[in-house]
Amino acid sequence: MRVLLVEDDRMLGDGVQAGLGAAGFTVDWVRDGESALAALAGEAFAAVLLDLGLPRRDGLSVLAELRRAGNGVPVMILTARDEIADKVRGLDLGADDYLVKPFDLDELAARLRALVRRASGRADACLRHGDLVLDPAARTVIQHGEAVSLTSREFDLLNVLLDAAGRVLTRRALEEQLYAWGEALESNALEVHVHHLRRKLGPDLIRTVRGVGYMVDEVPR
Amino acid sequence: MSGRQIYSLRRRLVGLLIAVVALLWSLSAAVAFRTAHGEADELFDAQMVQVAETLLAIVAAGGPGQVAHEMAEHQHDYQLPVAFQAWQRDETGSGWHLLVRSAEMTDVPATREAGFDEHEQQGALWRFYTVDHDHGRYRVIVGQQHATRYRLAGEIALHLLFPILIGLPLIAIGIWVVVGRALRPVDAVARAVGGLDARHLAPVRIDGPLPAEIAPLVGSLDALVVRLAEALDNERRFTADAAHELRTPLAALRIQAQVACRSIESGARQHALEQVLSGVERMTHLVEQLLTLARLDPDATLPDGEWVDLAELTRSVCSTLAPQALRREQSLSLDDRGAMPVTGNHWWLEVLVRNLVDNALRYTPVGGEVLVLVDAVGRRLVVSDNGPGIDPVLRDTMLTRFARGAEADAGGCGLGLSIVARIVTILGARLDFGQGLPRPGGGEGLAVVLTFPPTIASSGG
Repeated sequence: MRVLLVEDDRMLGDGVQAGLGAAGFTVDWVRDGESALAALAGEAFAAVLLDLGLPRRDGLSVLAELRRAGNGVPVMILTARDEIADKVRGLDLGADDYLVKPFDLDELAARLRALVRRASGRADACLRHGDLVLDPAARTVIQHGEAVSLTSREFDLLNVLLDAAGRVLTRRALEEQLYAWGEALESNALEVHVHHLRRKLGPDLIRTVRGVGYMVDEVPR
Repeated sequence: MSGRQIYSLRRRLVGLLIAVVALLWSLSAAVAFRTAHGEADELFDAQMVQVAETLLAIVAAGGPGQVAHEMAEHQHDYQLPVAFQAWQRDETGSGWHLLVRSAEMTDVPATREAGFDEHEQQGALWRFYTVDHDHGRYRVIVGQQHATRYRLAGEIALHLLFPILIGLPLIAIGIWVVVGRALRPVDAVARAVGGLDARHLAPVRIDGPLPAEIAPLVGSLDALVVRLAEALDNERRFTADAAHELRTPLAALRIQAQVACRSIESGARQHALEQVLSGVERMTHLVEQLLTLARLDPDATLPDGEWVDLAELTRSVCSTLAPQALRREQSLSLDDRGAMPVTGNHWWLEVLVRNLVDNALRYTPVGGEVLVLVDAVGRRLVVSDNGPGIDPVLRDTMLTRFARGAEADAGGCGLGLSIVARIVTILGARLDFGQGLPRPGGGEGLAVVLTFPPTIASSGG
């Protein structure tokens, strides 16, 4: 899952990027409000982590601008301001969650997952497809009652596809979700990961839509 | 409660107005009494003349027997309002012979004056009227006690005063009601002020028109409320800023420590641990600066002047900070032109110079240049750098606590310049920003110029 981190503090940004990276998120990090708006205008993120005290443009103003432009991406505010009035203002401006510094890395990751889950309209923390169960928190996949071993990238790809079950995801959309800026990506990397997933989970799960991208069929619940 | 005496404006007004009304009324009653007394005098005098003439006529016509007869005849009809004596001159013409007198009179002539006369008789003041008849053969003296006249005038005055006794309470009630009505806006102001919320200070809101006497009070209150709200806002902003400045490094420390705990790869762990260390360093710096500010804050004033050589002190500060400059390949040079004595606390001056030089080093990029000039003649300390400088628009705000330049990311906490500004105020010096050293890419860095007040000893430098 690709998230945008907007934080001006170098040390905290570095830590969150590393910590969430280890928890399976792809984190892009910008350090001021204007850059955040530019990044959000160009690309799709599963969620935004937004600091409030930002140079060049305040976090709340970024949030207001984002919502005015009709962008509904889930936003979690990360801030040192813990007064009720601040929280209320943030949430009223369209934030989805509010975390006060200093926070715990695990709590941040869990809240992020919950945020993304709610945004896609699911109540269940796990993604299910037939007898395939993907647990985003534990980062495990179980098929036919047995654990399947996946690499981090394969897991993320499957996660994105299952999350969007029933919709075709373009190559570009998938790459955006999987790779942070500046990450080297080989031209056929996506095909390789899809190939491995089909080998491990069966050939019928992921369908290729020629010239467009990939999709997982929707399973009636 | 304090010893402040609280009094009711309403009661005071009613008391005052009633007193004035009563006084005016009494004055007019006194005037009325005097007038009534004068009138009564004339009336009684006329009566006395009439009675005297009548008595004289009777005496002259019928002799003293006639008088006694008349008196006995009419005794039950009326009482003469006056006392009297009737006298007849002797045949010889040398003395007077008393013909008849009323009970209040004695056997000696009450007066020897012709016409009106007043004098005391038997302990009371009397007024007499003497009239002669028939070429001086008969004389009648009538007299009246003054007390009788006073009694009458007093009765008239009392009649005049009587309405006051009924009127005063009515007036008091009227004043009470009117004053209460007039003071209603004061109650409204009190209610409005009482209803102010300390967290959301807003100008006093009063419905309806406001009397001109109360309007200035409300105006002053509003001005006070605005000033209070500003001060409160400043405090709130400071708290929010302080929270941000304290919690962000803590959050970073925690996250980096968690990352370090979980990293399997040694490189990543090493990186996270280094971040933790530098985070602790940063927190230390922040806490030091906050403590410094706290020590400076509570209305600190200049203690007994201590002579400090600013050149010497700056040299020592520069040597302390030199390693920090070396680490970032910066050149730190000092240009001092002899001793510069300054009055002030050694510790403050050191904090002042250290903050200025430290700031310059922090905000100047790697490989930059910082020049410190101690100018004893101009009594200036100038710290110039070739860093990014400060936008002239932002210069004033840079002195507030926790303010940092827009692009600042130098591990500073934004307290340095506010500490500097505080000490500069205490020392009576001046702080200016100017153009610093030329930047490699064009433009100039920042120069901070401190100008110290002249001292007597400075002429030697």
